[in-house]
Amino acid sequence: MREITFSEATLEAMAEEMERDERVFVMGEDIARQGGIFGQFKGLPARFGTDRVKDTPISETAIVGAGVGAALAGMRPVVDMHFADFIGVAMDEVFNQMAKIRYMFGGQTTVPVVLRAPDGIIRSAAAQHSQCIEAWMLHIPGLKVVIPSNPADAKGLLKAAIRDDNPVIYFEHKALFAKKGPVPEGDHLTPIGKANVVKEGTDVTIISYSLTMAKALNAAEKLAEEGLKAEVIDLRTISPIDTETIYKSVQKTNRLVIVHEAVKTGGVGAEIASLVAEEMMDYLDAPIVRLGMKYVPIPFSPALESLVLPTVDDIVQSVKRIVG
Amino acid sequence: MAIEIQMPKLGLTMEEGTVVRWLKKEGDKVNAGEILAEITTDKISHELEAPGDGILAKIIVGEGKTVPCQALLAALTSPGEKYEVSEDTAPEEKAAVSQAATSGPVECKTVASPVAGGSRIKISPIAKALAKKGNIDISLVNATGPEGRIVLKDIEAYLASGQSKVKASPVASKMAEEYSVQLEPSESRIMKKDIEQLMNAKSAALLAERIPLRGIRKVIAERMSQSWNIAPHVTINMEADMTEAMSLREKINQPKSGLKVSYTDILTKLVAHALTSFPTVNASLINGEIVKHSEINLGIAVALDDALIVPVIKNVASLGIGEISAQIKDMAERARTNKLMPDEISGGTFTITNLGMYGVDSFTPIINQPESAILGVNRIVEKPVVVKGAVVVRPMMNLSLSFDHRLIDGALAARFLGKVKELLENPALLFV
Amino acid sequence: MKKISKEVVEHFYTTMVKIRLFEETINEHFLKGEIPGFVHLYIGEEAIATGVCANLRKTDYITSTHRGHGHTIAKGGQLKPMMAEIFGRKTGYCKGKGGSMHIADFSIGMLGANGVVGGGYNLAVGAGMASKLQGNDNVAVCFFGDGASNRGTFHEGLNMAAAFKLPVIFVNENNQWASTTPYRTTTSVENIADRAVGYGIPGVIVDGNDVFAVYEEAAKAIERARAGEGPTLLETKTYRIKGHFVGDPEQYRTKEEVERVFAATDPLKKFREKALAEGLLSAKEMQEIDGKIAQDIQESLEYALGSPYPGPEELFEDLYVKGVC
Repeated sequence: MREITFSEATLEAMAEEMERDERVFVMGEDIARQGGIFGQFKGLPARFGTDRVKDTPISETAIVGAGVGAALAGMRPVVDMHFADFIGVAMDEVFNQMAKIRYMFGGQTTVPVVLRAPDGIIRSAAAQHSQCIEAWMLHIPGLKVVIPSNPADAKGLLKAAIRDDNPVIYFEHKALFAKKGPVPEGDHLTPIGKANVVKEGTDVTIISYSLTMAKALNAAEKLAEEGLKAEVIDLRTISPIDTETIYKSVQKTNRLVIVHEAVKTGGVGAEIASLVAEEMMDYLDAPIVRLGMKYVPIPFSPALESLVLPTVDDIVQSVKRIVG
Repeated sequence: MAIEIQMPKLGLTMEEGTVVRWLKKEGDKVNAGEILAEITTDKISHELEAPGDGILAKIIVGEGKTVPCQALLAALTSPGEKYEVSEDTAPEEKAAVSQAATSGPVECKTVASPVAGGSRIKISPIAKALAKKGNIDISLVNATGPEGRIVLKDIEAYLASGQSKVKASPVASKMAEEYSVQLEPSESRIMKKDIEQLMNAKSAALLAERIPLRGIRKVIAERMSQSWNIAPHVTINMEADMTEAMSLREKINQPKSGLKVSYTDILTKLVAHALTSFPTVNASLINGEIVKHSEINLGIAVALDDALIVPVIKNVASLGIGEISAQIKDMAERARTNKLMPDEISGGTFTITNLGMYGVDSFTPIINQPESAILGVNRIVEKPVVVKGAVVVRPMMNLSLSFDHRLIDGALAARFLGKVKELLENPALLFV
Repeated sequence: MKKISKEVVEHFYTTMVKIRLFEETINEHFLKGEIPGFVHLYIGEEAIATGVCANLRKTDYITSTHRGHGHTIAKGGQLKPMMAEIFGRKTGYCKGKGGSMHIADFSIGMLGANGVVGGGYNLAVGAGMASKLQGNDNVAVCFFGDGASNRGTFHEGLNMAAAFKLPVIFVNENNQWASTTPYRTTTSVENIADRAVGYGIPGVIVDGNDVFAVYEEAAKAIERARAGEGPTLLETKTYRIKGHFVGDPEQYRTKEEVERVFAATDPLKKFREKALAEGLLSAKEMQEIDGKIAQDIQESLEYALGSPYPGPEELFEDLYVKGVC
């Protein structure tokens, strides 16, 4: 299979969906003239015009609110948030409007909006341009939340998100944009709500997603050298969580480690750990381990920034600690 | 300063006691000598008195609970005083507190993990579930998991080893052994009451009327079985000519003396005297040791309407016949009205049991543990006996001595019984 | 002033009476404790929604506010599902999940009342954007209060609509009160319409108690929007006759003030006087309309009260669209 970058994969998804459905349009800051800060929109204006690939004012509430309004009026907007951190500016539009409109109005309408949110730590972007905030979104009934870890899923999940009639928050890690990987050509869809068992194993289940998947897989290789067979699951969808895949794996391995870049406290790992404790208690053979970012704003200096995230060794040591 | 009230040790053999009823509740003001609670032992019920004035601040052992002697039952405090469970009772808690107090500024991110230890067994949920399913007593499983936790593979290994056992409480296991009951795996832990229920059900199959075995009857049942099971009993019989003894009794009981001694009183005195020459008969086998008692304490079996109780006359060798007679009368009376103190029914070294008044000629009494012999006394009956070649009629009494063959051999027993016979037939030897 | 047909005049009166009676009925039943939550009444502001919406087509959009019953009625909403929704019934517009503050009817382009003050600007902007992308001349009207004009969304919405020349009409209902606070004490300008200058769009002030005037000014703004000339900020001056919500103790103003103002501004009274003076509608015609509306309102009330509450099985209904991807 041909290999393209994560960024190219999302671009391909956008182009295919805009080609397929003229209701699809995209707006955001610096996407048309610049082509997106990670090149993820390059070439789209030439193909679809600057009405369907629209540079907006720096007005997050207007962009997200108008995305919702356009969806109510029959369009299928994709809204680019520039940085996931800026969702905070438009939070009312996300959690009071986008997430609630369908339910609050008794199912009279659908709200097919996709919010693209580049997240994560990259090259000392510091406290306001580096965050992973998927757990906020998980807490809001009415939203779907997806988060690819590789170019193929980047394409498949974006296409699936655009076609979904529900509002979908699409987190894409900034450090993944340049990563290459095999991506199917044509209509490749990754189902929303379905986790991916990337590597099978019997001794421990490691759940991760997004950029941190690489660390999880790396740790699994190191563990294999010591004879420990880790099952590695790429969650891919944060909401709704694929409990079926998680439970099945825990039933098999009896041990669970969850690792993500987002702050550990109140993170997705906390939710998964709670679910497993509630539903799979009698299958656990060891305490559940959560690994996540330390409870601090992300510092600027590389010397400090490098300290906040869980490392491959942290994962390896955690597994060894609970396997004994 | 709080007064701590413990489960009393009422006599030599008492190991545990049960709180039947609290007569005072927490917060009640009590005076010294007031009855706080009713306690039962394996022998008797006892009223627990307040050792001082105060407020019943805390009841630690609830009604129906059985605890070892010296276990803390409750605490009295003076008004306004705050009672906290002492270090002995909650060592772990204390340890945790003192650790925190000495470790300086508390770091908010490190939460002290619970102090390990005590009787809590660490086990993972899946291991626990499997253990439950297989009725495995996890205290028998070797833990190999991190931090000493029993993990799934430990239970699997245990199952594979074939060591898995029926899950039963120690008492239940012991009872099952006693009654030869075969325990089978069950969902829940088999408890004492389950065995009792089973035994009741078995009895019910034979009897029209079902009466639960409880109270003193249960104690007697348990103790008789226990004695019969642990001690190989041998009973020997020997007849004594009671002519002299009868004459002695008459002489003692003359109106001037004001005494009214029974044959049992006389026998008590004579047996005590005989025992001074046979220390092995006045002995016990306790925990693999032969304990030769320094005192001669004679138990006198008293029949109650529906039970049997054995008050003990202490240090009989030093008592005169009058004192013996008075004590036996007093104790027998108090036995019938359930007013004996626990110490008065424990500490015996030899027992006399008399069925003579019922016309019995011979029986095999069961030894009152942990004693090693018991003398059965039968009726006095006039019989033709041969004395110096002539057939004469004499008042004869048969003596039945049961002895624990682990400790006493037949010859020794015969010599001892012979000594008793000799004393009965010639009481003057008492002074020899 | 262009000639207004009798049909439109009748529509004005019918709509305003419908709103007035609807709100009075709600008021009565709320005070009886029959309506859950809280309700905000549109009494005294009927001429605005009526005058504006009389210019709209079914395919045009409106976004509304917490004080939204009048907007829905004026846009063509039905009384029965409105009433049932306010009473929390299963037959309501939103199956009892929205209530008074969240009534919507997407079949007539009513994109929803909004519980968040200033939450509607950008939804209207998005609807206008959709019209433009779809190549039709549908417009979107955003109703908002004087209090909402101080939200940041006002700026972002007006700027983006103006920058993209979107077919959006921002109708400010300046009823003088932001909840319990007089708008003048918290607002930097005398007229909300003055702010239009900052966005390079027309800012128009009109008497919000005169349905004819509102109709006329709204018509111009809507025409501009349909012609692709971009948004207008239309400020309609009115006065909130009722408290912020039903049950508001209104300690911030006197009863006398309200009565004095209402006597001078009541849009229905003004309409009747003008209609009789100019022979637009006879007293008899108006009485007939009054009777018909009273009957309609009564029927909607009976419908609502006779409707069941939603069952527990409906709790998770409509949270997500199922069966896609």
